[in-house]
Amino acid sequence: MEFFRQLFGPGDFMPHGYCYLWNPGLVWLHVISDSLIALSYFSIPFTLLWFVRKRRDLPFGFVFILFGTFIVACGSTHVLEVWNLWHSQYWLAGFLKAFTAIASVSTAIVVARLLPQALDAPSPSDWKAATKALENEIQDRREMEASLRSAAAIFREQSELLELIHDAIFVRDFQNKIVFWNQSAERLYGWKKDEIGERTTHDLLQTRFPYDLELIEAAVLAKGYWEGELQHQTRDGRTVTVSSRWALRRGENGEPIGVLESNRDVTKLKNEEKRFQNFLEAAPDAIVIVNGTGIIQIVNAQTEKMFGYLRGELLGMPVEILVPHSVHSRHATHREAYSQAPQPRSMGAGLNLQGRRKDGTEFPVEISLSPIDTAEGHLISSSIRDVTERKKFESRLQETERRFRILVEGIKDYAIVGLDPQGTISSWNTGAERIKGYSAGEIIGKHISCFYTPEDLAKNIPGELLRRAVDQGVTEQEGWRVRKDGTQFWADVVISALRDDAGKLLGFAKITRDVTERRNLEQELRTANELLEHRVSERTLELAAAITQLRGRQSEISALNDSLEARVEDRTAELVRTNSELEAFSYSVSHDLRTPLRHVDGFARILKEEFVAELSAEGHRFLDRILAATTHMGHLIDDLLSLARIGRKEIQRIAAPMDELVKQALAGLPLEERRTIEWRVHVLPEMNCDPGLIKLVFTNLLSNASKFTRTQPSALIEVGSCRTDGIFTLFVRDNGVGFDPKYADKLFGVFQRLHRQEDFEGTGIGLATVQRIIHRHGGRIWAESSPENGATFFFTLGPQPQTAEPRETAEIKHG
Amino acid sequence: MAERLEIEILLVEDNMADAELALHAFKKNKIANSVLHVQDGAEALDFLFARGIYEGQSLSHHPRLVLLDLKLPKIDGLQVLKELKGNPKTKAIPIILLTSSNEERDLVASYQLGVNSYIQKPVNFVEFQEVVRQLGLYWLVVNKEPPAAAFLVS
Repeated sequence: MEFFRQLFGPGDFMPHGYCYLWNPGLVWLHVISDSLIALSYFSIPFTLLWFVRKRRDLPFGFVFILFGTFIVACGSTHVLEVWNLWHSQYWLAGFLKAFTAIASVSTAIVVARLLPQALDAPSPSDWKAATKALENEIQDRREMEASLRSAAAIFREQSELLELIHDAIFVRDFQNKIVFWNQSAERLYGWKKDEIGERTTHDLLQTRFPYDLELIEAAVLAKGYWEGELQHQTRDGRTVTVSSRWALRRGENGEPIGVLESNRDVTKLKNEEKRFQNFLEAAPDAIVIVNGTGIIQIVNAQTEKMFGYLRGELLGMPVEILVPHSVHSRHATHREAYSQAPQPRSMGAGLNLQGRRKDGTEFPVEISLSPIDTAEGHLISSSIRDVTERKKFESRLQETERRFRILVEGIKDYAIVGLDPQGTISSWNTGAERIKGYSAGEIIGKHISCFYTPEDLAKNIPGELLRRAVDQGVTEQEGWRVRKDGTQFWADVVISALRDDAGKLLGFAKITRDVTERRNLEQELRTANELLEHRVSERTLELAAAITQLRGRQSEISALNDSLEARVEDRTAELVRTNSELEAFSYSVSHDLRTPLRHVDGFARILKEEFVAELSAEGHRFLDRILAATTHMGHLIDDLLSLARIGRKEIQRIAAPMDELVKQALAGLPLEERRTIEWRVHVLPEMNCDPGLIKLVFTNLLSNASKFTRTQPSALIEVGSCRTDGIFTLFVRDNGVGFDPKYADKLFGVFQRLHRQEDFEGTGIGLATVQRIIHRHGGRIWAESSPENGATFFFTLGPQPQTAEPRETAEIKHG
Repeated sequence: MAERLEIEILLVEDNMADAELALHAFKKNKIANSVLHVQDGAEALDFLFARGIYEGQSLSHHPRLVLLDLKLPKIDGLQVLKELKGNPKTKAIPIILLTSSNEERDLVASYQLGVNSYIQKPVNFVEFQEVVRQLGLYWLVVNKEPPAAAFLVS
C-alpha cells in the first residue's frame, strides 16, 4: 500500500515547473512540445494497427505490435512530462519510463534480429521480374486448365461408357478397397457403390475361386491378367456364376496399383450346360462326341460302362479306340467322308457293327450319328447302343422259326397250306402232299378252288370259307375234297386269317385233315346206335310185361307176408304165455320146492341135536347124509332160479370198469383158511355191459378157479384182457386141475360136470349161467385147458360203442 | 267179555311144519312164551281187528311183532300187510315178512306196502335158528316198541 501511495502520491518533491522557474515561455515550450510528441506517438500505433489489419498476409505481424507498444509507451512518457510540470509523481513517471525502456530494448533486439530477413525481401525490381514470371505461369496454368477440362470430359465419357457395359466391372486397389463399381455390378450383385464401405470384394461377394487366390493373384501379377470362372453371392443370397477377367492396373511408373475385375453372369449358361450334361448322362445309350478329326471330346457315363474305359482315358483320344482293330482304317475313311457331308443318320446301315471294349472283347452295336455345330467347329455326336441281347434274341427267334418250319414241313397227318389274301397257294408241306397228292412244285401258285367238288364250287364254298376266316379270324368246316387223282376224302378244314401288327391281311393258314375214316366210324356207330335203340325199345316192352307179372307176384307176397305176420303174432303170444308159465314155474320152484327141503333139514337137525342119545352112530351118519343132500338141493334150487331169472331179465347196459367188477366179485368170495392164492388182476378196460350180471360172471369164474386150484400148493389166478381186431377179450386163468378138452363142449351145459362131486362140489349150473349171461350180451365164451395144466376161460361182451386201451398191469394179492 | 291174551308175537303161517320149526326155534331161544300161531291171513286180520272169532276182544293190546308168511290161504300175506299198514289202528305194529321167497317182485311189493323187515327163511335149520334168535333179540329187546299213542285214531 505504501508503494502505491508513493507511486501515485506527490511525495516530497517539487513539481518540475519549479525547475523552469515557472518561466511561462519555457514551461509552455515544454508543454506544447511534449503534447505534440505524445499526440504524434499515439497516432502512429493506430496507423500501424490499421495497416497490419489490412495486410494480413504481412509477415512479421508481431513486430508491428511490439513496435506500436514501444511508440505508445514513448508517447505516454511525454504525457507524464507535461503532468510532472505541475505534479511531482516522479515515481510513476520513472516506472513508465522503465516500461518504455523494456519495450524499446525488446523492439530494438527484435528488429536487429529481423534485419537479415528484411534484407532478403525483394526489391521492387525483383518484384517486377517476379510479376512477369507470374504472369507467364498464369498463362501456362490457364492453358493446362483448359486441356485438363477436356481430359476430364473424356474421362467422364469413358466412365459413362463403362457404366453402360453389361458386364459387372469394378476396380480395386491392392488393399482390396473398391475404387470403381459400375451399374451392372450394382444390378448383378444388388450392392450400391456407397453401400460397400470398407469391405473387400471377396468378402462382400463371398467369392468362390476355382483354386487358391494366391495362385490367381500371382498369375495376374505375372501375366497382367487372369481369366476364369468364379461364383459370387448376391446381396439377396443367390449364387451366380461369372466368367471373370482380372486385369492389372499399373501406376505411372509401371508399378501395380490395382485390379480391374470384369464379370459376366454365366449362371444361365452354366445351368444349361448342366442340363445338357444331365441329359447326356441320363441317355440310355453311350454318347461319344468327336471333333472333325475324330478326337473324342465328350463321353457320357454309359460310354464308360459300355466300353470299360474311364472318361479320362477316352477324352482326347481318337474315336477308333472304340472300334475293332480290323476296321480301324475303314472307319477312319468313313468318318472323314461323313465329316464332309454331315447329316443325321444311322451308321453302317445293314452291317453288323462291332464295338471294342478296353479288355479287347467286341460286341454288336447300333450307332446313330448327328452333326453338331459349335463355336469350336463341327462336332459329331454318335449314340451307341449295345445290341448283344437283341442279337441273341433275334438269333433265337430265327432258330425257332427254322425249327417251326421244319416241324410244319415234317407234319404228315395234317396238310398245312399257306395262302395269299386271294387264296392262291404259297406254301405246301409234306402232309399236304401226302393227303392231296400234289407236290409243292405242282401246286404253289394255284388257287385253292382246285380241291373242291364241282357242287361246292357252284356254291362258292372256297370263297365263303375265306370270307368267314377274314370276318371271324378263324373258321372250321368239314366236307368233301378232291385229290389230284380225282378221288375224294372227307376233310376237316381250319382256315385262320393271318394279319400283321397293323391288322393288314397277310394271307391264310389252312390246316386240313383227312377224317374219312373217322366219318366212316361215326356212321357205323350211328347205325349201331340205331340198332341198339331198336333193341332197347323191344326189351322195354318185354320188361313192361315182366313188371305186370311181377306186380301180380307182389300181391301174392304181400298176402304171404300178412299171413306170416299173423303167425308171428300167434307165436309171440304163445311165447308170452310160455314165458309167464315159466315164470310161474320158477316162482313156484323158488317158494314151493324150497319149503319141504327146509322141513327135511329142520327136522333132521332137531333129530340130530335133541335126540343124540336115541340114535346110533350109523343113524347120525345117515342124518348127516340127509343134511348134506338138503344143502345141495338148496344150492341147486338157488342156481336154477338164478339161471331162470337171467333168461327173463332185461340187460341194462352201462359203461362199467371191469377191474372194479372183479374187485367186487373177489370181495364176495368166501375166504378159505390155510391157503394162499395169488390173484393177479391186470388193468382192465371199461366196457359196456350189465354190471350186476358181469359181476356174477366173474363171481362164478373166480369161484370156479379158486375151487379147482384147491389141490395146488401155490395157486395163481389171473384176470386180464387182450385186444384183437379192436375187440376186447377178457380172460380168467388158473393153474388148477384143468379139464380134458375132449369134453370142453359139455362145460357150459346145465347140470354138466367134468369132476366128481366128491372131488369138487358143484351144481353144474354156474357155467351155464355164465354162458347165458355172455350170450345175452351178444358175446362169446370158450375155455382152453388140458388136465393138470390149469384152465383159461375167455369171453367177449358183444359190440362195444368205443374201445379203450387197457392201462397197465396191476396185481392184487388176496388170501 | 273174554280176557285178551297178552300176545307178544303173532305168527301167521299156514304150513304146520314151518310153524313147528319156527316155534321150536323160539323155544330154543327162550322167546316162545307168548306166541300166537294163526294159519291164514283172514284169521290174522280177525285177531288184529278183533272180529270174527276174536270179536269182542280188547284192542288196547297189540302184539309186539307180527311174523307173516307170503303164501297164505284165503288172504295172502301181501294183502294182510296192505290192510294192516293201511289202517291207522294197526299201522304202527312192526310186521316182518318171513318167507322162503326171495323174488324181487315180492321184496318190492312188501317194502312198498310198508313192511318193517323182510327175511328169507334159510333152508339150513341152524341158520334159521340163528335168524330167529337175532330177530327176537332185536325186536323184543333192542327195539323200543311203539307207545299207545301211536295207535290212536285221530
